[in-house]
Amino acid sequence: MRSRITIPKTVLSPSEIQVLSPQERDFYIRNVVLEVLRLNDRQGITISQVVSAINFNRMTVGKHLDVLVAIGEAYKVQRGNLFIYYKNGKIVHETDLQSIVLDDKIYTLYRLENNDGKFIYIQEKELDECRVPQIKGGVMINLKDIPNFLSKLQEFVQKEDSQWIMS
Amino acid sequence: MDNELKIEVKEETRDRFARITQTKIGQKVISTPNFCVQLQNTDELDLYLKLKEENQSELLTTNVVRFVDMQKALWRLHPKTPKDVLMEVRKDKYSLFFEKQVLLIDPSMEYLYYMPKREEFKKNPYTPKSILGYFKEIETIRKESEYTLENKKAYKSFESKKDTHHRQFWRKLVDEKSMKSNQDRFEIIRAFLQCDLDYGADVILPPVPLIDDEKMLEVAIKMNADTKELARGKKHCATYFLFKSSALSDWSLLDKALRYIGENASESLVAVKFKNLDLTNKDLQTERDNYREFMSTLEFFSRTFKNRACIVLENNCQSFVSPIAGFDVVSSSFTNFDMEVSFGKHAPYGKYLHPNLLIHRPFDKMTEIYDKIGALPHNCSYCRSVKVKKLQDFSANEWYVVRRGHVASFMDEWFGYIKKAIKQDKNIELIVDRLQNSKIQILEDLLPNHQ
Repeated sequence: MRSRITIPKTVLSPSEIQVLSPQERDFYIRNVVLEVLRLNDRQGITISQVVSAINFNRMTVGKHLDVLVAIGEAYKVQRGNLFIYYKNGKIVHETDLQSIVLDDKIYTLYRLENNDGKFIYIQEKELDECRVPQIKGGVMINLKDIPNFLSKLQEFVQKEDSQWIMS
Repeated sequence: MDNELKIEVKEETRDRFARITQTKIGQKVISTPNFCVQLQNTDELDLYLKLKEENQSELLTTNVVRFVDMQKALWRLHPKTPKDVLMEVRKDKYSLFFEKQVLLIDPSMEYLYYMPKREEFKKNPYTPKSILGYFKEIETIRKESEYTLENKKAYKSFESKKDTHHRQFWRKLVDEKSMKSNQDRFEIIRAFLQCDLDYGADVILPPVPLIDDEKMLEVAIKMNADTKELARGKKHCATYFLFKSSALSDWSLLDKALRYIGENASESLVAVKFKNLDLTNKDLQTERDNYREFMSTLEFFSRTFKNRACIVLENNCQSFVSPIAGFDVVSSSFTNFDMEVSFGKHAPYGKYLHPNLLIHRPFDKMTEIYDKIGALPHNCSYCRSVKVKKLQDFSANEWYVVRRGHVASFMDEWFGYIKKAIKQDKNIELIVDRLQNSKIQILEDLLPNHQ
């Protein structure tokens, strides 16, 4: 039996969530789930824990957690028949973060550490119509694999480059 | 990984209740104490831009625009104005200016109670339908009461009905059980949030009612909480309380607001406004004491909990003292007079902020001073630019520019003086000395160690 999780101090009630537009509702629930992940970054969370603590629909919570995993904001660990979701690492130092701005895209590089080891996390953000950065995707690479990854990437780019030049 | 949504406060140094910080709001960093100029129209925006070109002061890096002034002050920033085709980024001087400057939009919900700005609400496309409906209902009440300025009885009856209706409107709005109320509440929050996002405001100020009793405080708490929820993942949302000046006499009310701030507003900007407050009135001793306690409790929160900063809006003459008693950002109008009404002989000629007396002097008085000393009594570039033989020869338009430029320059100087007193001398008594030699020495009561 897993212990109780910490949830945000205020969350909209189901009747309040009901009056939000579908898009607004989706955005809101994903951000609440993200906040729950953040508040429980050490112990992790399960879908059942979120459902019993906040009273959100089970399918909805599962869907948003999987989206957060897909964009690299969270990762999932299987323990027996239980899936536990963790917030992706904690940045210990400010220097562990660097942003590269290319046109309207922002690539933020993080050095992260979690139970599975040390990682480099590349997060892609795009400015929305209100110039607010929104996370679009991300990729996590184990720190020990970085030299290998970089050499393969360079090899790939150069190979592609020569083909492009020839064509 | 969500730095855009947080504020980070790095306290550099402090002297008792006054402190110097580098406060990061989203991607922008401001140095505090900071004087936040409220801009009311496009002339003021142009003037402020010119002033900032000449004076790159780090203490004048925030601006607030009231929702009711937005149409006049920020029309050039309207999201529908043409953008650069390739980059989708506006490159006009106004947009570029606000890329660096912190901008706040005050929903100015007090004008649901005080009536003079209802036309501005009607003209603003962001005004939610429920607020327009509210104004229609008030108009019906006004017509039914048939009041005129001469008929004081009818006027009083209208005022009382308006007050009741105002309270009912807000209380009904936060009734969670009613679907209609939930819809209306979120419609209002959504409208102001969208306006903030479209115009690039750096912090969201929730649309809260004018508080004068505990029930209205509960409404304000609910509006704060719901706005934070809707802004989640979008922008940093401040905790905002808008008090009627009379609320300062009720400590239990202020205490409840402080409890909420203490318990809920972690890592947050706390914004406060006391509408039409002037604590230089000798009879307001209780209010001065309560204001002091209120500020020192906020200061305690900022000192105890990391990443908290406080801003006070429309601070009027209190703005000389607030930065050394608990507020990091202090806002006032461009003239530093938040209740400005000018009648009489020199109606187009507004009052001038006297740099030594720290009060506003009418134009007539300034002409006398000018005749005596042959100049305006401040050394800023705006005052020095006045070189007419007689001040009466000065045009109203030029006077408009001079007194605003003078106030911003003087406040920059004043805030710089405070910064120096904290940083170099560790002696905020230097400010107390300046107060003692002014006409607002009574505001010394607002300082925690001068009780």
